[in-house]
Amino acid sequence: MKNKGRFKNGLVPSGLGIMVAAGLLPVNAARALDRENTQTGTVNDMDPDAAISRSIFTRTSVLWSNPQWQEFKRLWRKLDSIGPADGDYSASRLDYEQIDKIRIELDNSQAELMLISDEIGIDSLDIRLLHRLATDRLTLLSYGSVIPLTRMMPPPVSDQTDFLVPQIEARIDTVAFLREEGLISSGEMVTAFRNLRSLVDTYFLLETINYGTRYTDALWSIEWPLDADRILPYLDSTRIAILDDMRDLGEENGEQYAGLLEEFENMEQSITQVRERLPALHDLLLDLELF
Amino acid sequence: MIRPLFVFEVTPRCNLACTYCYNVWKKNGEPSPRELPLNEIGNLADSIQAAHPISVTLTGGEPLLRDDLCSIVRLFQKRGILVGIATNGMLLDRNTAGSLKEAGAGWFEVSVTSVSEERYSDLTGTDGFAAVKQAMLAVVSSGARLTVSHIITSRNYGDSGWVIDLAYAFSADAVALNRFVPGGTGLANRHLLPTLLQLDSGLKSASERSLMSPGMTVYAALPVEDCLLQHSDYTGISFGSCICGAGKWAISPAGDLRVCEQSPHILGNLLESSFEELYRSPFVEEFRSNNRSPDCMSCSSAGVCGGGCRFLR
Repeated sequence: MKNKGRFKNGLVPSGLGIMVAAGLLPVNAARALDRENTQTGTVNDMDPDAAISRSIFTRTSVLWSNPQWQEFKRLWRKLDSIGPADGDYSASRLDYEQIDKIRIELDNSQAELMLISDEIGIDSLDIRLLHRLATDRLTLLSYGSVIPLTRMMPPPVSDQTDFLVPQIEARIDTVAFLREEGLISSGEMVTAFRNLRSLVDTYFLLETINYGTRYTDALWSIEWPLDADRILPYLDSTRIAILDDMRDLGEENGEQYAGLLEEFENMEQSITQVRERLPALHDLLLDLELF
Repeated sequence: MIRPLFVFEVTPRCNLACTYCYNVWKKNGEPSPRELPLNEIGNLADSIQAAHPISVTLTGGEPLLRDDLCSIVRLFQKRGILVGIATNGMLLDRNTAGSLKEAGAGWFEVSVTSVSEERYSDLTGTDGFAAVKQAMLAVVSSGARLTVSHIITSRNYGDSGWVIDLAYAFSADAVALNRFVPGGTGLANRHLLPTLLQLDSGLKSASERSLMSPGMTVYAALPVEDCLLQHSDYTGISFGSCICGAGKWAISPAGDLRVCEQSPHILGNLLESSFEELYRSPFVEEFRSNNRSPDCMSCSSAGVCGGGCRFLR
């Protein structure tokens, strides 16, 4: 039932239209914004939805005319348009040439966005994480869920991120499918996409752990909670447990202890940095999906 | 003793008129039970706490009709008891969901009867489908966990697969499928009982959609006998057994303990007696043993289905 040509035939109205439909932006504000192409609005600061809409607009209006971002969006939507074969994400619909073509285009797009990140106000970290998610989605749509067991060590928490990507993909597909079937309104679609944030946040944080974990140390074999809000506290309790054990063994002056201490500090810093970027990433994802 | 799960009917009042409603006081001529005021619920919470429950689900009637629902949630939360809320969603907007979450409600169970406005209205007496969707979105926006409950009747069995899709699109954690069991208002509407073919159709479509919805659990909350419909035909659904009067208990708006929401029999009042005293009642043993036909005794699946729902016998 799912994935029958989503977003075809103008299913999704303009960005401003959909914000109005979703009640995210007052009609007058949308008209004024449309006409003047400014960032002024009449949104109410007390209304969390309105505050969110303003942040989306402020952040993404620069991107609407940016060719590099539009190219990344084109590729993102290309992934959106690829559905599972009979609901099975393990059954690829793409041939190798298509897969390679999209992968190269994604890599090029990332490189081009990195060059202009300051100009368009997107952090390089945002670009890396969005590119990573897009690449993981492509892998899922190409080969299905794969277990990266080889002679070589897989990334530390790749089994956990691999568990999340099919959920993100399938929930995106289902939201679009139900909108296409008329079962949900455009406003409900916006909120449904926005509510995917807890899943996506967890993915971004686990991907950050993947990126920063050394292969030789204690953090490599940890199973992390699949809950964005619990990852930092879990890191903290893990740090206490591991370092306490080492102190009990009289290893606090050794090289390994110092290395671990540094690794924990770096990891905490990376996770905190990504957590700070999450509001921006939410806006960028909504822009990729909707506008 | 198994650690209990309590379902506390905080009010007999409701803002819907569901034709399938099982509330025991909805049976013709039955008086509505009184509703405990907040201070007495505090005493009830003490009694419940002494039973070391796994959790308490606040339901009704419609629990959100109580203005003091946040305070009720806090009474349990302060005693270290996990609290959830089962609601029809008509009054659950983002602010309310946020307040209840902040008070300590960890999860919400929202009833989605149909995905057709017409059938929803027919079955519940209200044009409320849009409000139900808003409620589901509000729960997830508030950061609480969402379970969707869906009752399968002869009128809406074709909706079950769609309900799974809707729940999935709206980031639900789980879907609880309930087959219609006549009780309360439902006793006068036995035509809503799904035939085996209809139940099979509803479960099959739910199972298919579940298999395409990774990360969301779909389970049959009311037991389905393996000898009637083979569980292995619905691989996307987890089937369980009846735990009423063993692990799960109902508490009426007045604090009366019962073995199940469907059972009118009162074991006693938790404001006057402890749970430990009441659960030893001979009625409980009688209820628990009255679940199997002779054929069940030799069936290898008896442990899985438990003989089915006692109120369908």
